[in-house]
Amino acid sequence: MTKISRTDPLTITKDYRITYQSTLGEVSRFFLDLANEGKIMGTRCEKCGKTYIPPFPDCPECLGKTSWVEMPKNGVIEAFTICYTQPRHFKRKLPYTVAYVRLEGANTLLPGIVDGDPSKVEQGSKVELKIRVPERGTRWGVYEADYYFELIER
Amino acid sequence: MGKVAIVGAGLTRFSASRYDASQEEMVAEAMRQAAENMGMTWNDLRNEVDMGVGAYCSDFFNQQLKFGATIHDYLGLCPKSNIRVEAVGATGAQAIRTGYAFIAASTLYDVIAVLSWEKMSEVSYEQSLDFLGRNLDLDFEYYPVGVTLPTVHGMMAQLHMKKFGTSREQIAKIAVKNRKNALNNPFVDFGKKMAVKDILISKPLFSPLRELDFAPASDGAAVLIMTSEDKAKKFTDTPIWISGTGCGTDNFIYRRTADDIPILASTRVAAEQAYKMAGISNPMKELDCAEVYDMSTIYEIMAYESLGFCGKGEGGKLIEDGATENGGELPVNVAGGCFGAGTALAAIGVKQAVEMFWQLRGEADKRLKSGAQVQDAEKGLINAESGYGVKSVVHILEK
Amino acid sequence: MSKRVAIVGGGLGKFDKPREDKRVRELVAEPVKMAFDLMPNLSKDDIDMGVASYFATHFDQEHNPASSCWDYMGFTPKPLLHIEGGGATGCLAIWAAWHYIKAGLADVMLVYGFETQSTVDSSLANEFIAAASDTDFDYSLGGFYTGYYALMCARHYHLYKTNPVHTAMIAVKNKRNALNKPFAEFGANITVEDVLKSRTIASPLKIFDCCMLTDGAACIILASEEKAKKLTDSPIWISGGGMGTDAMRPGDRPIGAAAAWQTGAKAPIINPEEDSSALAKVSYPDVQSFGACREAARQAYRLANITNPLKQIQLAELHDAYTSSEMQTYEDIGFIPHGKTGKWIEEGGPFVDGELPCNPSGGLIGVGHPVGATGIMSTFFAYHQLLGDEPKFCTNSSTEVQGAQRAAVHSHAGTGTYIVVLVLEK
Repeated sequence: MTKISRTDPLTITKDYRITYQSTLGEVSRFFLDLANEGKIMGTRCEKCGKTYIPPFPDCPECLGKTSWVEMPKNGVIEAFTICYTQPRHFKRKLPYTVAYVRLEGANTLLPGIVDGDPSKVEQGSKVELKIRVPERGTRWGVYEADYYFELIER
Repeated sequence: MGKVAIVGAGLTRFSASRYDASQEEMVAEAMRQAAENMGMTWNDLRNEVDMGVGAYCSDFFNQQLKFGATIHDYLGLCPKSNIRVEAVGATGAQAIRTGYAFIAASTLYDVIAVLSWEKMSEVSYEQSLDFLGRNLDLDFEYYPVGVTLPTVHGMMAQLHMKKFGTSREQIAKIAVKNRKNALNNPFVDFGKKMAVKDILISKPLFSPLRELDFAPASDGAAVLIMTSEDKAKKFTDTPIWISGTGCGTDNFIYRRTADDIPILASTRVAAEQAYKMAGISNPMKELDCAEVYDMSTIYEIMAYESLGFCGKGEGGKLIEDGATENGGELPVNVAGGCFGAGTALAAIGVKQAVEMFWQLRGEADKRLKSGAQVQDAEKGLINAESGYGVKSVVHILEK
Repeated sequence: MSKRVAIVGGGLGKFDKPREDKRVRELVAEPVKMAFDLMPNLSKDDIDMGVASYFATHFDQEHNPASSCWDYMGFTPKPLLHIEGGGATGCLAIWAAWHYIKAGLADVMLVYGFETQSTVDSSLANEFIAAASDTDFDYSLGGFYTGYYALMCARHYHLYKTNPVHTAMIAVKNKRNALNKPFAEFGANITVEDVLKSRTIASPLKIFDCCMLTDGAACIILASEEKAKKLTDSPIWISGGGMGTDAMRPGDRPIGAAAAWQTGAKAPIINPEEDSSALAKVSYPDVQSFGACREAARQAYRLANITNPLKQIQLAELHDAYTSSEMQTYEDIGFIPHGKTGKWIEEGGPFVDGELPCNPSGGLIGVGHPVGATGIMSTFFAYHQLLGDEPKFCTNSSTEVQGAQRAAVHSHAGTGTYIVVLVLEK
């Protein structure tokens, strides 16, 4: 529907919808194993041994091949922030905490939401990764499972 | 002196919404001003230009693709060459760097017009945040976890405070300084006298940052006329030379660590390249002023450190000491930066060059207002950034 | 005199629709890994800077694929530039990289281009592409690219007595040339009759006259003379490059005698066989010709010292988004004078065994047109032709142009809005 919102100058308002069919390509396994096996799969470079989660099918150090490895589900928060606003596609209860976590053995950080009281989150907090079926509207589209972090009480 | 000079410049008004002018009209406005300031007719200037470099991010904001071709055509520059660059907030600076490359290569282009503009207001603020959020990883950051660009700034501030002891007040002082400085810039809308407490009581967004820690979105256009060394004197007695240019890139957050997230590695790399070319070893002493990309308060603090104005973690102290106020040791964003003009993505990178051009020629008090002039400024730095620093560009301009 | 720059390597991914096996960054890593595999003495450290070439992020939801690819392949913190210019993006990126090296800002540059067009349905994809035409007037009145080109083709037929058989012969040529190429998607053994009988998209253009939406990626590595000689025994020089523009709306293009260039200068003559008085008698470029191509070729030939393109160039990779576009380009790139093109095609001029082989790679119609990768693909094939090892990337040597010393690579955007011409030389 095109609407005229002003005539001096002539200003029209219209919506534009785009429907995408996107491929998860070589990281498909991450999402399928998350949903079907309850596992977090990272990749490890066969040459230099670096471990990547989120997974990198090609090693960024040497462009060599990587192979899939199951990641442990415990880690440490290296960066976080408490969000008081969220993007349009998100319908979470505000505020919520977003954190980048170093899972044990990983050379990269995995972003995720930290469940629970935001005031208890600190740099260096230990967390455990959990998997669940997402609430309607809290995760994009067709992913059947969601992962999130839970603080490990001292 | 460098092989490439800036000989002319023009700006439009930067506003939350320039509904009064189409994109073509905004660029024409800036071009007309450039011609007028150069004492030329539009037609004469147009005939002198060999090539245009288009700088805009509009594709999504305006739904017109290849908009640069439309603008180039509208300004009567066909059949001359044109190229378009894009790098979110660093676009304008990339365009200047590309103009530099085409001139310094000594092929066929001696006079280049950098044509930059942005009209973010055609979409709602919420929609524009969505567009900017897609600069992150969609499958692991944006869609599943809702990480957006300001989210990353929040995390950077969080880490900067923890690691270096930077205080919330020091961070807020950036917004206070730049909004106050914007009152000296007749081209921008967001100048305002504010206090630290105003920032600290504004709506929380991404801890520890709040609404007034972020620059608003805006529309605007800016034009720069660049020439080779040989042609420069034809246009002006005081060309401003680009004596250094540098560019760097940085990883996505998941490939970084708590130690390097509050540091702008790309900016450091870009600055090193530019300083090397310009023969600068002590920026604080050798530079007279700087324009950095203050899309958020914390970003300017991190820029101070990565540009070598102070040591690692000392950015908070630098703003607190007043060193970056006009009259201080190295005035930064003396015309208001992004807090003053809004983040009209591509146009800001060129606007920085326009204002620095006027600054170094001693015209800032005339073209802007007297409070914007840095006394005896001869060498300046301009720096524009993409997102949270995935691309950084630095230029050194000197008389 | 500024430095010489050479192409020292490159890589190509499979062009297909769709490439569902990879996300964009994995798609780009494929030709880049191939390039490094082909050059054992090149390491990632040797690369000083990158240029990313892609057209429309409307096709993919990621808005900064340049950076995600750069990060993915581990090239940070090196400088990166994203260049865009519609269909001409690929060669624009190479043209830009050439200038960056000549300016001394880098010695070795990796230019990578890609596009995925299969993420949305065809009619929406065509809508995105049409958004690269004038959206205030042309597009909103039902404009779409095949329509624009059909209009331009019809005028060319009328003015220069070319006809659908000529354009059909180009389709036959390009699809046949692509048959021996595992990287190409649209190779086929068709006849002129097959083309003429095929479905009309916008008269007079048939479906076989049009390139297809494709996914794919490609890369090229450029180096300054000093570095090139260290990296390879056979650098292929970029001896010339140029870029021209024309009005966004074909209807705005200068109408009147050839002297009516907007700057007031005469339309330059780049072909010694061209009769400037004949050109002055028609309205030029109007909608039947590409003035931007003439300007791009003028610049490129001036730098490469080419005064007789037909005689001094042995092969050309042209941007055949539409067969008619290739036909029109023969004239404005200075190969054949206006009015003589039809005959030249009939005599087999642009065929592999003809006077000046055009698109021995198969062009966009034979290989595919992932916008950001296309110009790079064209350059890749021209490069290997000059190196003498084109058959290495084919299943036979039927499209090899032996003994070629110079190649022209051409890339074209919009309705002739942006055009780039590069000259490669042994």
